[in-house]
Amino acid sequence: MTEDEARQVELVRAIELEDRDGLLFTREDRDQADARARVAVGGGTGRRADARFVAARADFATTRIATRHPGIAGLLEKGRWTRWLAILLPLVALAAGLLANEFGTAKRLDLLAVPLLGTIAWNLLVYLWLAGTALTGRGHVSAVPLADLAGRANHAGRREFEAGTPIDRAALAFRRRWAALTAPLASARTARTLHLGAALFAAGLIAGIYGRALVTEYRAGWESTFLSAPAVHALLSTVLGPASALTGVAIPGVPGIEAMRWTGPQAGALGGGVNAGPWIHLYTVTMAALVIVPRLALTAWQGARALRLARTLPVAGRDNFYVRRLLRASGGRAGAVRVTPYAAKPGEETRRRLASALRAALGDSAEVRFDEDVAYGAEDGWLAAHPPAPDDDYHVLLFTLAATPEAENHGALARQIADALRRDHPGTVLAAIIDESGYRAHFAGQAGLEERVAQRLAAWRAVLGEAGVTPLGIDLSDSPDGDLAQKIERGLLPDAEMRR
Amino acid sequence: MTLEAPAATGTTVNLSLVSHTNVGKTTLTRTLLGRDVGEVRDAAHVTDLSTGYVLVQAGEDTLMLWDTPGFGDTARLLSRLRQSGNPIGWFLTQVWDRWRERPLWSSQQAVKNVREEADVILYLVNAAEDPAAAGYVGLEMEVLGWIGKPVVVLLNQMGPPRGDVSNEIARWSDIGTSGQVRAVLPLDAFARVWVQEGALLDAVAPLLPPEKQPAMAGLRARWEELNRTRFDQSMAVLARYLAAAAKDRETVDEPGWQGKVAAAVTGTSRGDRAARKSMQALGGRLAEATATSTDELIRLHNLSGKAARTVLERVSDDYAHAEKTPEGAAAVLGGMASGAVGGLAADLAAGGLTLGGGMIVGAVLGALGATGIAKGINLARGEDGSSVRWSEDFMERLAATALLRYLAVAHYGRGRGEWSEGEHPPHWPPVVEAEIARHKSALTAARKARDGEAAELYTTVMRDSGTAVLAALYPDARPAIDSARKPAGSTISSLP
Repeated sequence: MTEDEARQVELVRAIELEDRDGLLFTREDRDQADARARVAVGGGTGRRADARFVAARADFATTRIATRHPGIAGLLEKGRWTRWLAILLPLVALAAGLLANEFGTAKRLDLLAVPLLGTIAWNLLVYLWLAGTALTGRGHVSAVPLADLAGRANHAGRREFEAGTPIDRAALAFRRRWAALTAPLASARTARTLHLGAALFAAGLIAGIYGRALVTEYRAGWESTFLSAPAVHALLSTVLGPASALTGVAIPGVPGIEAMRWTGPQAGALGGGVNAGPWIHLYTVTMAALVIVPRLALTAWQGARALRLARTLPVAGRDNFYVRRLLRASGGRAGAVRVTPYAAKPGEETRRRLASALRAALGDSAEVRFDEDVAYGAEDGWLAAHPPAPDDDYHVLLFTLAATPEAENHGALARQIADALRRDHPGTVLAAIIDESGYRAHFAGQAGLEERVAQRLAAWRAVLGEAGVTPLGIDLSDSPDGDLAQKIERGLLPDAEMRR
Repeated sequence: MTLEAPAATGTTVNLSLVSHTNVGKTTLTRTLLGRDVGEVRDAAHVTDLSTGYVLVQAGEDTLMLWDTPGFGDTARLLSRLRQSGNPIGWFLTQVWDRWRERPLWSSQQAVKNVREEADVILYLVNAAEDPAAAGYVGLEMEVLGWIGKPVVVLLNQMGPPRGDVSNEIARWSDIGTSGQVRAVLPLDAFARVWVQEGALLDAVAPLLPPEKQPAMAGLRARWEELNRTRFDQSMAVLARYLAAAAKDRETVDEPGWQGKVAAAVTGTSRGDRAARKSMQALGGRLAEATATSTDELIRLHNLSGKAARTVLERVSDDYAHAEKTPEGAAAVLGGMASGAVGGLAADLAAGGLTLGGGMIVGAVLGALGATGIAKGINLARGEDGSSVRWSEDFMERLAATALLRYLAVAHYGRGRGEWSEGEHPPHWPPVVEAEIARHKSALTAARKARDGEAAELYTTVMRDSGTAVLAALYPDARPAIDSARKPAGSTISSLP
């Protein structure tokens, strides 16, 4: 999926999740989008076809929504600032490099000048830091705030939609999710820009010196308050030594260095120093080897990485409820629900009603499987004997409201399954239904029944809440199927991500 | 374990209420004691210590009721107990943390109490649950089996009182090993009545060790005396109330010559207004008496809270029929009384009079049918003017509502403290009506009796019909009811 496609998919997803009532993207729109996408995919199957379906549907959807809400188009544009920065920053660096020596003394090539030695030192430091972060594996962290800043700059001062409306919430959710999704990509792009900038700055520095050296005679020399000629010699031999060995341009001995002092006994009429030609060559070679070439290599690497990341954005996939629902609509695999009754013996009629309600909520071809009833106290070891299936969309625990929830039993089962799912099948949503039918029938006509039901449900919420499950209390005996399905849809099946 | 009162030096019969957590032991204890003890909440492991309460005292003998913490985490506990050669002995020597291992701590407290104190185990179950699904029941019966004391199963959380509970009893009677459960009795903490408690004592008595049985007989007799006295006093309250209503009269002011002129000129009758005023006074007094007598019943049954209104509303609901149309009825009647009675019924139905008492009066009037308003109130023209009084039909209905009020109060459990909820099942009114109809002639006689005798006659009628109603509602508890037929002994003057 390309970056543009991914952006569309995520935006449509955000809108559909927020727009539960179908005000922005109506039921008809959804049906049309499904149909259009089905045609576009042409009956293929597998991961690629799934992705194509989702992308084609999102393309149709965004076009449709953008015709009604022009602000949507703005959300789909790539960040302008990001692109400008990617071009501008290296250019600024080049210009800075070209001009850098102008800030020094005229006609002088200061051997110890900050632009030259400082650039080299700074780059060496950067390499060290890169190596360090590569080893500890914390490289991207620093780039995220930068990407965030760029993202915020992109949208600064622009509030397209009225606050609090579904579309505004969707835009906000989209931006947040998109920023998180593209954080590695943004980090790679930022790194690419910065590396290129560093290479161009060094190139500019050298080019500036050469350019000026053509028309003026540069004198090379040095001065220092603290350093003596031997120290300077040692320093220059270390920094420029490899280049000297490579080019054959010799570095003068300590007396030669001493003679190059701007001020002092040997400083002649020319104001000290020697012709800078050999030194310029030496610095050029050093700069190219230590800064320009490595930085360009890093630029290329980060550029390649950005390209790869852009093509493989981790967009919501099969593990996402929203996508699974779309794919079910596309005529792909139907949803699968596993129901595990615990310390409850649902009758045939109850099972039938629950199954048909689940099908109504998930699509007619959804597969609903009932486990054997788990006996009270049998939760230990049950999971090992009945491991979660990878293809389940939902694992529904079925309890009865007549029972008092106990953390050591009902709670333990929910916790164990929740942990297993989180570890092995994060795509499966764990849910709990508390069947009120028996309890309500038993206490029918008794005063304060609703209060008692509410109280008992609160106890269930408290116990199951520790496993991260919000139980849904429904009466499986007397609600009509459609009603039941709606309640389940609303209470039990919202996208797990939406609940966060 | 704490003892609420020092044990008598005589024999102490100990009944231990045991169950899985949150089945309602403390709630039932409160109901049986008529006092708010312990803590009650819909959650697991609310009670964490066994506490003994004196249920009845006869001379030096005491009947103690023990409220214990509930069993919890039963399955895990059982799998550990089964590995031990001496499960109970092993379990009692373990040290559990009261807070971190609350289920095990609570289970241990319960087992300890049962082993050390209980003569008979009252195993309470949550009748709302399916015994097949409530897996802990079998496990806990196994634990109780190791202790080896007789078990009586009490069905709590029965829901509203029902006519026939044999299905429920059958559902729960085959738990545990065969013969382990000696009796299954419905005893809902929210909707039991004293005759059911008597049945429980009768079921427990033969299960006691022989040396305690004589003491139990004395305790049983004393318990009966106390409850019979309460029943008689309740009936006396209602009899006084009925007698007062029967002899209540309100004179209607005759319109003077000005009224007659005004009536001739305007066409409206001042007599109408006068009659209405009188009826309203009559209705107001009855409404107030209804509320007061309900309060008295509530006090007799140790229920706190001034919730008479709840009872009254519930009782009047049974009589408030959809076809209750006072205005329509008034149209049928015409003449002086019609407007006045119609207005009165409307006032009463709207609850415009004292508390909920007015609603009962209104509901009874409505229940008399289309012409019921006219039937409800008699207008008597005497030599010294006219007066209004309650009709015979009305008095008969009033007696029925009075019995229903008694049932509502007597069944009320005090689980959650303040008197706020209640049960009023649909099978009560027909039973009550039938009994009242059977005593119709006695009621008529009481209504016509002279002032001094009326209360006495009403007392007899109410006691007879009340006993018959309880017998019809709880056929299994007949022994306790039969003893109630005899009037209480004169030695007992009041309740403790």
